[in-house]
Amino acid sequence: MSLPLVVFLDLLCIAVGLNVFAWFHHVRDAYFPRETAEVDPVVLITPSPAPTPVPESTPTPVPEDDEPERVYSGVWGEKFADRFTDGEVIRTENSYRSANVSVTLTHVEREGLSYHVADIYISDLKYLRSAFGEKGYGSRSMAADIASANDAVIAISGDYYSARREGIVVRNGLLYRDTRFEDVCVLLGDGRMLTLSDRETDLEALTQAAPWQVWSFGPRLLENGKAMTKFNSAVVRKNPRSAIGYVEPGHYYFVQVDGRGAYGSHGMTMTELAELFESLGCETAYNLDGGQTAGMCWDGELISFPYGRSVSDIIYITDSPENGEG
Amino acid sequence: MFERILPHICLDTAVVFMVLWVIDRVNPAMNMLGRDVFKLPFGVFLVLVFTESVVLIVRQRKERK
Repeated sequence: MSLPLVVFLDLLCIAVGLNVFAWFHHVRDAYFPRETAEVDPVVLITPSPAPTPVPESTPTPVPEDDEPERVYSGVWGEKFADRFTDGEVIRTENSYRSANVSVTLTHVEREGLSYHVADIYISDLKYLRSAFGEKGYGSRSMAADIASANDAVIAISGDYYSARREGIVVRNGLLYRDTRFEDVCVLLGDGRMLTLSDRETDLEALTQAAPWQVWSFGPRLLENGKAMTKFNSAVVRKNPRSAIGYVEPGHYYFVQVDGRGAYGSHGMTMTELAELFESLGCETAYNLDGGQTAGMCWDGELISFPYGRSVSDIIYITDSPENGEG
Repeated sequence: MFERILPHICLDTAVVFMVLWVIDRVNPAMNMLGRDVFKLPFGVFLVLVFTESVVLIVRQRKERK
């Protein structure tokens, strides 16, 4: 047998080997999801961490010609009163406002870049939730299907925790996994969002802090509100991105960036993403799983480039938290 | 026949694992080396390399005699 033929056959075997591995590693589960193992999560925080406050005094009767005193719902209802309505739901092509939720969606398109920014205000933390694939913890589904099943106003893909055995997983106050993996993003029960580097993450202290959500992917993007220049990630080049930002309790941002040529967009570098969150006025921001996982759903429809990959979790805003998991 | 094919199987499998190792280094979130699907082929690879080494050593000893 001639040498070129031997080399060709070796290369062919290598290509076949890599494709077979890729099939079993991440293609098979997307098309033929398996039954997931039952996991008994630990309750860290009650599903409604911030109950709606009751007015302390009995309202005094007001004359009929005066406007009735507005009763604010949720712990941040009064703080962001100008963002919420008195109870009606106002939905437009790129905004949603109700008594508890306000989302303004912006689609930015410029040469070589397309991304969505969702400016989010909520009256109570229970309106910001996570959801797993349709068969629960460990399963995978299309992001739009998970968003629809949970009445999501807006949703982004999460940290794809099921691709790894490591990484702390806390969703809607329930602890599912408590192993270490890279930088961590913690949404506490009081609405504050912290990002911790891999080195400074104390798992025991973290679970004792009763977080509402913990995501494990990263890297963290901001340090004291300023864009970081070095990141705990090897994937810092232009890429499709999904990320969450925090301004103050009750005010958050979801960002999704198209990439890899989709809609003419080549994505954002990690530095560009960090600078975007700094320009939005965020205190902290955290990168979630990007690439083909990155997706954003608005009113149950995928509005980012449809890669078609199923995901293990989404982060979403809903006006019907009673329909969600946890 | 097996003796002739074995080095090629070892070579090809080694290249596959080197590619997976590089991908895992570039993007650890893909977890190329940590999942069960990696462990079985890696175990087979170890057996193949062991067998190839034994065959090579035996052949070298025969050639010396």
